[in-house]
Amino acid sequence: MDTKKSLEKQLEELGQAVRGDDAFIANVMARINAAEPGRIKQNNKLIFRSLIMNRFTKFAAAAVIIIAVVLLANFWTKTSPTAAAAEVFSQAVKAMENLKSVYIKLQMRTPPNENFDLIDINYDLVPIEMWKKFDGTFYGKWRAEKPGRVVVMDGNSSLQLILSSNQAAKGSPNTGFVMWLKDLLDIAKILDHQLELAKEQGSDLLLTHEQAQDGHNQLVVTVEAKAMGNFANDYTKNRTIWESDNQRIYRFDEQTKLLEGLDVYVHTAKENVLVLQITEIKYNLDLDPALFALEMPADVIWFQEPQQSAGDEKYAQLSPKEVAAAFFDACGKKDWDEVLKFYPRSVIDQRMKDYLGGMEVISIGKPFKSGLYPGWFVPYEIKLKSGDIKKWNLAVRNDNMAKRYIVDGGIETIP
Amino acid sequence: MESDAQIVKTVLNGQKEAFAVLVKRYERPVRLVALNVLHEYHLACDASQDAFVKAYQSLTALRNPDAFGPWLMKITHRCAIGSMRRKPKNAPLEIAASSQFVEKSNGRLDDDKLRVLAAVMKLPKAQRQVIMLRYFSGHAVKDVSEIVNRSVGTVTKQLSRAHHRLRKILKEV
Repeated sequence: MDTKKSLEKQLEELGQAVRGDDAFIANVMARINAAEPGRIKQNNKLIFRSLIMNRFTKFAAAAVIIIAVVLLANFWTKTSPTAAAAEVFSQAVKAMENLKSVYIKLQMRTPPNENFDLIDINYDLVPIEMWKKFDGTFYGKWRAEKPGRVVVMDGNSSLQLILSSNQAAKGSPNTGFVMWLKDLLDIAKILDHQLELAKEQGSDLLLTHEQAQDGHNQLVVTVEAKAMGNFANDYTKNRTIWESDNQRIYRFDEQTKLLEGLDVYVHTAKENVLVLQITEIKYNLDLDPALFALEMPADVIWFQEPQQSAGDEKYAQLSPKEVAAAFFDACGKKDWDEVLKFYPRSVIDQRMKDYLGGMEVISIGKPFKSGLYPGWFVPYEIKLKSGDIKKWNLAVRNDNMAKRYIVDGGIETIP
Repeated sequence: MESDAQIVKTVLNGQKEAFAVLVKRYERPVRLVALNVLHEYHLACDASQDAFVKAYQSLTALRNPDAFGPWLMKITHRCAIGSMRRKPKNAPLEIAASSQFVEKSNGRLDDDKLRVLAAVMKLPKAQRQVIMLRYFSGHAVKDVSEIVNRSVGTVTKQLSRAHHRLRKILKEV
């Protein structure tokens, strides 16, 4: 092999040593959506550049910056309670670096059958259990379970099974089946993220020393977080932890710096409501490998990512409102093959056929966006064949391979 | 194939989902730049994500959209250095020819690959960009020329010069 070919081969091998990963792209885009919904930060740098056009202003600007940095650093290290809390976080991150496993039991105000992210201050507290094994691989393995849903990530992919409707979905290791709660499993990272969040939102972290019920000392870090997202329409406000104004109270063992508890309170105009509480955390348990495997029932209904296929081009042209109209039209006509174009599953299950078959559309409203949801909500009013009138918002999104809107939620079929 | 500059403009016009094309295009180069600093796959992935998010948030500060690639690499390098500072146990800021800090399992790079990577990092930025797009991201020369908005002839010349320089650097090591 000549030198050029040998070098090219080495370069290609180097590129292949770092695997391409759809989950990576999805993660970056999710962070972009979450951190700065719909907007890019304004360019203050250009203003700065125009200020330093001559030597004098350059010198003056440099002096001002140096003074400001010194003052800020002083403020940060000596006077800000945030700095002390940040120190606890960084010690906790260190304490958690060599963990083998973590088990978390918590309770959350969420519907038992619905997704792991959904909260509401009026729901009952529902038990959730999570396990994570840190096995030296990039993703590790984890499992999250609530009464109506199980998600298992076996190191290569994640599987979700909705027990009540017998529906399942497969995704990459980072597919957002568990959302905010998944960050709890990356226990060292969530603390880091809290610090970043507090800095971004300009909120304080408050550090106090308290005694636990058994007498041991705890460090308690309280974080105030503001709702993220665009709430021109507040439909999703307080429906997830990210989309709520909340207070998070982290409790660490003072000696080991390991996390021992977390309470999350959502602030409403009238009251503060406990929506999540960790009731138990155990570290370094020997976890049963069976936890990270999920057996699917034979008749499971699979969610299927819509693909770009010949003849389907017209569906990619439809707007959110048109998709809602076409979906309900197909349901009314009981044209289940057509329904599958908008509600991509291996089959449409009988309960949905019974619920929506023969329905009539009364009205379809103007789609709106809310919070962090990447798609649209389409208001609708329908008359079911039972005569009942149903008025709600259909959730549609098009962040799929085929780039066409599909129905993602807002249909109630399970009592 | 759309150039980086065209995609940057599309994103700035409000279609932020177009940024995913840039993430896909530069995912491997960015991870390798981070890996060159951090030597640890897991950390490098985190730093790479940070870099893309920072790049997106600062996109209006990019005066020349044609320079997106090198600009992104600079951000990545800064993010990786920042990550290194948060994790002092991981030591060196620049790569050593036979680094004792690099493990050879769990997706980490072996010494030979690290040596080649370090050499790529020493290339002038235009040459480095075409090498990365051609070999790390696996684009054909024609696609690379479209991405960077330069002629096929210019890209071919830059690749050839980069090969020459890489061979020289690798001989010196």
